[in-house]
Amino acid sequence: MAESHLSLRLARTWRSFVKPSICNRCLQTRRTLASQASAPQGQRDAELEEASSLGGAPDAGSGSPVRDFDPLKVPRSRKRQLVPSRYQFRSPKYYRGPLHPHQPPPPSDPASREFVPGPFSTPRLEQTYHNIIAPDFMTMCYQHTPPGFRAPQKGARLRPWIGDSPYFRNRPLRGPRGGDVLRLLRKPITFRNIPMIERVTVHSFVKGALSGGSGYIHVAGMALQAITNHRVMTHEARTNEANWGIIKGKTVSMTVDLKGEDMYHFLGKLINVVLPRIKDWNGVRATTGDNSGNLTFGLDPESVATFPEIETNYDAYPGKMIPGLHITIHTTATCDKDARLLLQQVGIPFYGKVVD
Amino acid sequence: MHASSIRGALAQVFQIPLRPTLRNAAGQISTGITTTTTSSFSTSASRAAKKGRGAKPDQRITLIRYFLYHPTTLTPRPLRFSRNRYLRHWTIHRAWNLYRAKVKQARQLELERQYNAMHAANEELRVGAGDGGKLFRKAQMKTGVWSIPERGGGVPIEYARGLVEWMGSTGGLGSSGTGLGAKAKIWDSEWTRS
Repeated sequence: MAESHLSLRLARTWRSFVKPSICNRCLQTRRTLASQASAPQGQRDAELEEASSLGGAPDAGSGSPVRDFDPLKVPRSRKRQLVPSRYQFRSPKYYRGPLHPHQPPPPSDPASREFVPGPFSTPRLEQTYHNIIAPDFMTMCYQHTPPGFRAPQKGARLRPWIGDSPYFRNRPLRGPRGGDVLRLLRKPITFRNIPMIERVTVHSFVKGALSGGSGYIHVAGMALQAITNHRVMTHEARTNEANWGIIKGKTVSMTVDLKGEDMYHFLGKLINVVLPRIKDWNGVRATTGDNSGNLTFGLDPESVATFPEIETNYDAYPGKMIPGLHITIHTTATCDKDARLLLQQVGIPFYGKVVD
Repeated sequence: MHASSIRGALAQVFQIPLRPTLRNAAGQISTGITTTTTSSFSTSASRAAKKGRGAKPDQRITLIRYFLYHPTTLTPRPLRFSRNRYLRHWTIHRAWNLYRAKVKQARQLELERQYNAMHAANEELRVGAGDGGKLFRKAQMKTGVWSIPERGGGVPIEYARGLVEWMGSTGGLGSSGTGLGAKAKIWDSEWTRS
């Protein structure tokens, strides 16, 4: 047995020595130009065209357009020089209005100063929203109306002034009932107006900067930049406030506005990594909100330090200077209860009294 | 020291803005605040410290300032493409916009299909179920939809937890246990209020 194996292997190696690159089977199926020309016509596929379209007319001699084409003729015959390839144009730095002759390029143009490349990823939260959360939200809030149903008409929200007084003529309409605020209308949820998260504002009031110097501002800015992947915008105090030690004109806080891809990444980190690791945390207070679907909650410095970007590089930050955050989630919902329902679906827990 | 002086000279000759290197940035800021000139063989540094001329600032803040205001963080100049490259970019940009519009349209149509299906089912329940619309009325009750789980309504927290169940629960730092992986564990099911 062993001998036969050996001989077989020997034969294989011998064959590979003799025909180093071409195996037997390849040799049988290989078609050269000569073999193709002499091959019988019956084996060809009837639908295959014999002539290649790239070759041009076979019987045309020197007069065929392919032979006559001279690639250098056109540029030589050109009177003027072409515009240089690299376009010598400086886009204006500032937008000076629609009537100005010097207009900046659109932001999608890479030469624009507002051009932002990307998006580079599809965040999981975004996919989840479109595949799961939005249909579920629509189903939960579905209100059936029979065909032909017409909602009863309500009166105008801003009433006119009615009376005998001559001052009522051409007077602006009366303010809304019960207060000064004309609240947003809530329309029934259909497939067209399912609320979604629009943008997230991360705000940090740096109290230490009032007395401790600019180090607090810099550390907080760096922490926010690391968390949100955006440059922060700093804000100065507008008034003096003796009780809080605020001096007018001094930098006291910073914000970051997040949209799109960065927003979803930030929310994903917040919801899946940071919030579950806060000990003794009940959730967000259910009464939060500004009555138009924008909810705010805060994080203390210890929780901010558990963001993965800071936690992995914690030693680079002075521990006592890591800021706390206020996070405002702006949704397209027009009332707080819809926004709260959306954020519950996204994974933010709520606690306490519910006021709507 | 030597290299930086060469850089400085070159910057003057070629009119190049001299970027702060990591070393001289740290040096500048620290010497800017505590002006103690100490030669390398002198022991006056400790004497200066004894005098309490001023505490040295935290080196981490210095580094954060260095990286925060490094020239590379400024807005880069606009991208200039050659003709072919610009056309390539423009083509890809239009194709991407087209694709996004199609995806958006598909999502919208899917939602509309679901909504119409719900509408048809509810209408059938209301008219054709044969129980006088009792089931329909039950189905239309929205008690507790906008509430919170604490009050017996709303969306349970497990709804969103399930979406990340298959994500590495240790944050990619190895299996759970007592090591780094345990520290990075996202959801500690065993934790109780002590």
